[in-house]
Amino acid sequence: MKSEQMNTEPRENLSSFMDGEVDKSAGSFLVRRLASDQVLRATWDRYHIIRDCLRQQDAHLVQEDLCSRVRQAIDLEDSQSVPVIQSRSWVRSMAGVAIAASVAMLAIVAVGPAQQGGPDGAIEAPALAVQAESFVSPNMGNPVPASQPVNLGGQRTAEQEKAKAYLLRHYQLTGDGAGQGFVALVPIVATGENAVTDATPELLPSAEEAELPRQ
Amino acid sequence: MKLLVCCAGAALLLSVSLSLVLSPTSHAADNPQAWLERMSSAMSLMSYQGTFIYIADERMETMRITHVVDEQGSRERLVSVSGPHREVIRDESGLKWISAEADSVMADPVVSWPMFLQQSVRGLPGTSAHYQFKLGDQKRIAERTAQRLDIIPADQYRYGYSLWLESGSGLLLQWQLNDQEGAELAKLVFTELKMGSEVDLNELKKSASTKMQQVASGLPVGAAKAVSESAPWQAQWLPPGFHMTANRAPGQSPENSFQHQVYSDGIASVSLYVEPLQSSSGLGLGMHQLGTSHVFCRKVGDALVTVVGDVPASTVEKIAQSVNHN
Repeated sequence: MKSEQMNTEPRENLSSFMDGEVDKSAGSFLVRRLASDQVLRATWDRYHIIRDCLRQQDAHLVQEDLCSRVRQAIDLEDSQSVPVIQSRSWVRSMAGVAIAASVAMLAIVAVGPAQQGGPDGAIEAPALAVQAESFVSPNMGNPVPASQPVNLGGQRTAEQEKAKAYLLRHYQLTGDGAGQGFVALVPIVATGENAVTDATPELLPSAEEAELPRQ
Repeated sequence: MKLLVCCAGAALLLSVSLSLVLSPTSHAADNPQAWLERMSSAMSLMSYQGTFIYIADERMETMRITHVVDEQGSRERLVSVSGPHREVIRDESGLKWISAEADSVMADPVVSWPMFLQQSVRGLPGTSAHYQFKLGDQKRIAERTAQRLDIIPADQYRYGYSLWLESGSGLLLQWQLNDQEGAELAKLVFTELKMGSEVDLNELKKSASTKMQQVASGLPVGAAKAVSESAPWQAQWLPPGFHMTANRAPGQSPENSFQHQVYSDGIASVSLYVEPLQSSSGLGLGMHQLGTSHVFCRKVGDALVTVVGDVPASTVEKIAQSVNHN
C-alpha cells in the first residue's frame, strides 16, 4: 500500500505540474526528476499526449513519434551541454524540457492538418509535414504515413482521374459482373489517394523494339 | 378432407421452396460451383448493408457499404469510415465518385452495373481448366457462420481467391486475393452486416460537400458493340482461357476515340484501350498499380495502348507488349 502511494505520488504531482498547480520549488524538483527519471519522463510524455488528444483528436496519431522526439531532444541536449557549475543544472534541465516541448509542438502542428483528410488540410500542410514519420496506430495496426501529399498538383490529379476512368469503363464493359474479381472497384476506392502508383517510371520500349510474345 | 390434404400439400411445397432459397441443399453444400452461384445471386438480388475492413500493402481502411435492390432498381453506396473521405454512389442517374483528397466529384452517367461486391457466374463453366475450386472449413465472421471456398489459379497469369460465404444466404463475408503461391495480397472482411428489411435506406444519401470541383469521366458513352474478332487492334497473346467478352469500336468525336476490348477467363478480366496519342493525358508510359489492379501503358506509333486488369503486373505487360494493328 505504501509503495503504491510512493508510485502514484510523483504522477499526481506531475499532473498538477502540467495544470500549473504546484509551487516553484516543487516545480523545480519535478524538472530535475524529469531530466533523470526515464519512467517519469515517459509518463510526462503520455500525459501530454492524453491532454492533446482531448484537445485535438488527431494528435494521437503522432504519439510514438512525439515520444521519441522528446527523448531525442532531451538526450541531444544532455550530450551537447556541459554543466559548468552545479548550481545552474536546473537551467540545463529546463532548457532540455523546453526544447523537447518545442519539438513536440512542431510535430503536432506539422501532422495535425495533414491527417484531417479534408481538402483544406491537404493543401495547407506546410513543409514541416516532411519532418513527421510513419506511425503504427495501436488500434488499427496499419502504418499511416504522417506526411500526406500536401498538394495534389495538376498532373497528379489528371493521373487519378484517368485511372478512375479506365477502371470505370473496364467494369462497365464487363457487363453483368463476369470477371469483376468479386470486389470490383472496392480496392480502388479503399486505397484512395494511394491508388495510383508508378511502378516503372522510365520509358519502355515501343512495339517495334520489343520482342512480341506469340501464343 | 380433400381441403386438408391440399392445404398440407401447399404448406409442404412452400416450406420446401423456402428451404431451397434460404439454405444450401445437400448438393450445394459440397459443390463449390453451387456456392458461387448462390453467392452471385445473393450479391446482386439481396439488399445488404455493413461495415468491412480492407487490408492491403500494410494499410487498413474501414469502409461502409449499402446495397439496395427494390422497386426503384439497384442502388449502392460505398463510403470510407477511416482516413480521408471517399464516397461512391451509384443509382439510376449513374455514378458519382467523391474524393476529398482530390477535392473533386467525378460524375459518370453511363455506369449502371453494380461496381462493388459482384461476380457473375456466367463464364464459370469454362474456368475449371484454369482454376481449382475447393471448399474449406467454416468459421464465424460478423456473427455469422461462413463457408470457405478457395479458388486456386493454375498458372502465374492470374490471381487466386479465398472467399468466405454466409452459410444461409451465400453473401460474401470475407474476400482474400492471393498470388499463385497462396500468399495474401489483399483482404476484405465484414465486421458487421445487415440484410433485407434491416437495411437503413437513409445511408444511400450523399454526405459530402457539393462545393468540390465537378469532373466528367471523359470516356466514351457509346454502348459496347457485338464482340468481333476483326477489331483493328488486337492482343496477339492472352493467358490461356482468356477470350474477348466485349468490344467497343471508337466513335467519330474526339472524346469517343477509344477502342476498348475486354478479355476474361470468367473470374478475372483485362481491358485493352487503344487511343490516339495526342488525345491521351494523365497516366505516363509504363506500369502503374491501381489498388490491386495493374495498368500498363505503351506507345505504338501514334497510338497509346493501355491494358488494365486485376491480374499480376507481368500479365498486363505481356498482353500490352503483344498488341499490334492488324
